[in-house]
Amino acid sequence: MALIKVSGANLHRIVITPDGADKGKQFLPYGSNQSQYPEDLWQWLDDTQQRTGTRFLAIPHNSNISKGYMFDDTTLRGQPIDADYARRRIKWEPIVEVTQIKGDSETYSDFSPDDPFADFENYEHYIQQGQAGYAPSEADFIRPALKKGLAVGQKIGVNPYKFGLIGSTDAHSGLSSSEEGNFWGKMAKDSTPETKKRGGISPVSSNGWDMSASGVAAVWATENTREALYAAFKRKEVYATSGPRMRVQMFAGWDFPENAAIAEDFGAIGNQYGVPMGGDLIATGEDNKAPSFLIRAVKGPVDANLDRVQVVKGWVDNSGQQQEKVYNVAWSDNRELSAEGELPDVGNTVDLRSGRYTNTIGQAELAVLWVDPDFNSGHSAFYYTRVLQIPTPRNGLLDSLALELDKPPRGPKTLQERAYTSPIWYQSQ
Amino acid sequence: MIFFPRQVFKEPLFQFLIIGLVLLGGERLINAEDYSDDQYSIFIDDQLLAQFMQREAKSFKPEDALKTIQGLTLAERQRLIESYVQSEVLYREALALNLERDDQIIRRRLMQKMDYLAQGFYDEKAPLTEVDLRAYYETNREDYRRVATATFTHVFVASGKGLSWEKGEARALKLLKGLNAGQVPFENSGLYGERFLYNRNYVKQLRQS
Repeated sequence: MALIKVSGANLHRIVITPDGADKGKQFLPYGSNQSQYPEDLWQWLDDTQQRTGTRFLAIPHNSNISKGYMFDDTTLRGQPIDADYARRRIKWEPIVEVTQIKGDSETYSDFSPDDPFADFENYEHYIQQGQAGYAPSEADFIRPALKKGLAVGQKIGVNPYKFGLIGSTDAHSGLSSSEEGNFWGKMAKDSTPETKKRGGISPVSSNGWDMSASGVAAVWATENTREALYAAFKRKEVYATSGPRMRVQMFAGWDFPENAAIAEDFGAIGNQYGVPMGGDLIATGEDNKAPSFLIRAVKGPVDANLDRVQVVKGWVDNSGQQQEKVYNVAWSDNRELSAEGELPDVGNTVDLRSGRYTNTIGQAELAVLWVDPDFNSGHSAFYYTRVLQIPTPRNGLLDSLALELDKPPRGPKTLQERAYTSPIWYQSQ
Repeated sequence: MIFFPRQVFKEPLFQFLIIGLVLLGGERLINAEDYSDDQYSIFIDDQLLAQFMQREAKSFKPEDALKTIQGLTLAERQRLIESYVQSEVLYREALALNLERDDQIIRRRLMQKMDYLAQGFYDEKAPLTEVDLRAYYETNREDYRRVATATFTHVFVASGKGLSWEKGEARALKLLKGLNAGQVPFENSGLYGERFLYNRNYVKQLRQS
């Protein structure tokens, strides 16, 4: 019964290990053809780890087309999520992929109506080609999932959706290209402008024009070794970008020095006085002071300037309702924040005829020491940073210019690329 | 002893009977394997069970597998044997029905195997000499060129924010002169100039980066 129910839902996990061939040759990978239930995968990971000593992580991906199953209220078997399930889930799945070629999974305007930057790179096709009727669910997206995790955690004592964020391409071409101007498609078959329409041009078929030139997994590691990268994944000190090589740091704490945002030794200060992305802020109970967030974002050396830095907060209020709010915390070009906290658009320098943009708007670096103005020490919450670039041409626009079309057959002409950090969780007493 | 009258040999029916017997017997002799009892037997030993078990478990460690097989209880061993027999019977019956024919997956697999085999063949030539190697190196020198890299620290001087490009450049050049004259060591670069967005030290950078 359940097998029929979830067919075509993307519940795939990417399994990675820092270990080498000596361990790897003792097993064949576990496939979704062996079981669709994540619990069975975790059991196999557990057994194989015990048998061979291999370490593993499983990374859920492309949740935006999971048909409402990836971050559901129940397990895939329809049973309530209990503490044992939640513990096993966050043990094996501490990281989730939030953005990739087949769309972005942060949030959807239906679930975040107050967020004008929701609906980024929506992808509305399930795995079965030609099937109509994409129906987004809160269980498909990471922001609602992070909120749900807090609510479930309050009930059963363990947050099953306490995960960090990375991006990846999911390219099936062997080329992990995520730049709009140098994008080689999802598959070999849709890798050039001429071949983008392969896959079908009927509205229910997905083709190369639907694909997003995204994403990148960024890791804060002490060195470029398997051990250090794996350790960073385990502690969730990672973030996602939709392609650009932005550098984003976020720390949270109560005692940062005043000038920390412009300090030379930013990272050292962040680690000394706070916790990095992926970490926990535990209420001390001594006072109810609001925590500060030390954030710095720098554009990629050859990328577009930055528009703004935002903090996305989610919490569960006293009546048990899941809440979210997006704060603009740093921005370019001396714009004025309105009384409601809204910021005027940064503008758009993209020339639609040439596909070029200029860095005459935006800023190369944005940094801030921000204090949550609505802090309530009794509400557990998560905070993650979202950084927006100024508008740049989307891959579809550039390919439509190459083909001398009037406009790209699908998708917007420009987009605001972005980065999402792993959250920091504040845990009330 | 029975004697047939001569006429019997001239009888067409008898002649056909003889020809038929010869053909049948000949076919039996030529295709003896198809009629042997062997084809209905399945031979099993520990090696084979160990291989089967590893394939089923998708876990490969031959020495451990053999030990595991030898340590099985009779019941466990019997279950493994039954499972192997079942797979072998299915396989043989499928072959008997020619199910392997016109099968794209089997076709592809055979092509792949042939490819691997073909890759294994090469022309056996005389071993290369030092002279050959040197000649090859000389004609392909470019392929062995190591691209120059640069490792450096730098002091960043910002223009903008009230400082024009020209003034910034002049300040930077003056600073550079002073640093070189004073032979300021590598590790002290952080004491000068402004904070840079990216790295202070760059190691083994290529020209294009």
